[in-house]
Amino acid sequence: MGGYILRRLLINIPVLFLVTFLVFSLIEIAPGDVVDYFISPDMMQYTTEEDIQRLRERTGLDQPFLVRYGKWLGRLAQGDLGYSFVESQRVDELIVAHMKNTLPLMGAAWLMGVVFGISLGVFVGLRQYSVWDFSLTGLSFLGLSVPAFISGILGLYIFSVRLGWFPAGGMRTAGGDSSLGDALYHLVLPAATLAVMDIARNMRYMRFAMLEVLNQDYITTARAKGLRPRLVHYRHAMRNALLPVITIVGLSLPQLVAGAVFIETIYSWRGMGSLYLNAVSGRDYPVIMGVNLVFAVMVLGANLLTDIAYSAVDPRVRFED
Amino acid sequence: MESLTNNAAQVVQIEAKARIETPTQIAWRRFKRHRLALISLIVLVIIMVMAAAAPLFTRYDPNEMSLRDRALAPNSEHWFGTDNLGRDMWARTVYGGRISLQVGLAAALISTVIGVILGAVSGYYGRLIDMVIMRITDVVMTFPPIIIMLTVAAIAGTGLTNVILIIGGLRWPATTRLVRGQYLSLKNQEFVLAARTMGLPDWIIIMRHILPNVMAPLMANVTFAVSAAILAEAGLSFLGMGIPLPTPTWGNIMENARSLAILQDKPWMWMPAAIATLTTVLCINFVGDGLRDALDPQQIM
Repeated sequence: MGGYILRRLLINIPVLFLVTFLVFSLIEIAPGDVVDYFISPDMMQYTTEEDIQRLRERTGLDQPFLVRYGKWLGRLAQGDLGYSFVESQRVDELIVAHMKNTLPLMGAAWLMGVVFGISLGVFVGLRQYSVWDFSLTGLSFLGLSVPAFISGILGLYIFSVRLGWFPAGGMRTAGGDSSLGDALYHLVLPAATLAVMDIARNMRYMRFAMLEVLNQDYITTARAKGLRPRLVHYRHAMRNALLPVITIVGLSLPQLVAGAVFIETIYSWRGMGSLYLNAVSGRDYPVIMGVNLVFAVMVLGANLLTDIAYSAVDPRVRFED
Repeated sequence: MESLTNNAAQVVQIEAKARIETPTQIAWRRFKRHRLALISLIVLVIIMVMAAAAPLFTRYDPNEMSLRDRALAPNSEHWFGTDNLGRDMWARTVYGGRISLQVGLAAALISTVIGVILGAVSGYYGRLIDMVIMRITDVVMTFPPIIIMLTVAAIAGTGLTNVILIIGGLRWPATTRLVRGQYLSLKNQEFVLAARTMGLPDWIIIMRHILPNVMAPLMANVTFAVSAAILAEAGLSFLGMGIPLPTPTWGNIMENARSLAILQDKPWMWMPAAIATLTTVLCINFVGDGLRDALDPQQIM
């Protein structure tokens, strides 16, 4: 087991290299650079070639591509992600500050996806072809087709503008107290609209897994023994049906990250998504690199954790060391 | 199907009927049984006709501004009202569908072509080339697609062609995996061995002998690629990184909703585009579902 985890970690290192190199090359082939961003067109007449050159030197943009990539890697090895060009703040501090806002959002959405998706899936899995099954499975198809930005807008419009149940965006009441209750109150709607697709997908997979497990011989045996249906359904069937769903739940991270970009824009949430969007439109290379690295580490980490969790719960899966 | 096999006479009848049907006819007959997919197909055709023949359905120019008619609520003149620049929202929604569908179809075509080529080569030849292609696929799939799309869009610039290329160029990994799996299982079948013994060149075996057998699962995949591409364009344009104004697309019409004032008081400026996107994507997904069931009898879900 330990050997397996170590090997998986080692395999991920070249992938991370490839990811950062790809993003770095993408930035390189871009026409124009951050210097254009610093100097607005109407300032151009007051700017001399010397000033531009000095700016380039200060941001390190005068050096060749591979040298810059090598330097970036070297500093990364020392835990230094550099300075943001635009915010004049350290990239790691920026990321930590925004991560604090994004993690509750993605975590809450993920949790809703797991709890509601799985319980709904079990619920309809036990009632195949019932009215509940048709309506909820139909709804889940709708949920799978709704992207985060549409569910976000519609959620904001219906539950905040029309019904007034939730605040219209923001992370806490302006000027008010910063209590936990207030933060949670602001979190519910964005997280729920982000979770729509997760809930729908988890529900479909859970339903399918339940139907498959309920056809197994050991379920028939359990029933024939005269076990109470409750015991058969939840002890024998559900626990086994959960196994394939673990993979789905663990691999949903990239999609949550993508959805968070939209949800944060719609609910004016100062998280990783809005940080990245600003960095991309401002050509803030150190931030673009830093955020991509963090996302890649998160996704690869989630994949690894999923595999480990799977082997922990399924005794049939054993990793050769 | 299970209920039919109970009756022997019926089975014979069905087999007799099947013998004179071409595979396309069989697929169509099976597709028609999927009621929801059939309705979706009809709705989809209507939407596509309206988008293609947009000038027939509105007398307004989607880009014509009229200061007199700013921010009008829906009325008999302007069915969906007008936006803050006095442009007719119905015209913008119909013309917007043109761009959105165009992006969806073109991007899906690109990603399918790339996916089929890479998947076929990967699955048919195996070994080193397979390993290289699959590792690249893994790396691309590691990223949330919108994150790379945003990066490339910011760098390569926005606009119709770029958006199509970006979406098409990043959507192929799923198709590659599917096609690779099919080629892996088909390449050792007898008809391929026969073709190889006859000394046919690899590309003929790949294109003429194996590819037709991959078409069935590929068709459903293409429909899902179209809906994914439509959503990707809408998402990019919604963030202002897709197709720039004034060209209307469903995505950049929805960008209106980012202003709280419009979201609150002028739902006609964004809701038609949201509903059009949802309807189209939902219909495409239903059609894809129906296709999958119609073309692949083994599929249960």
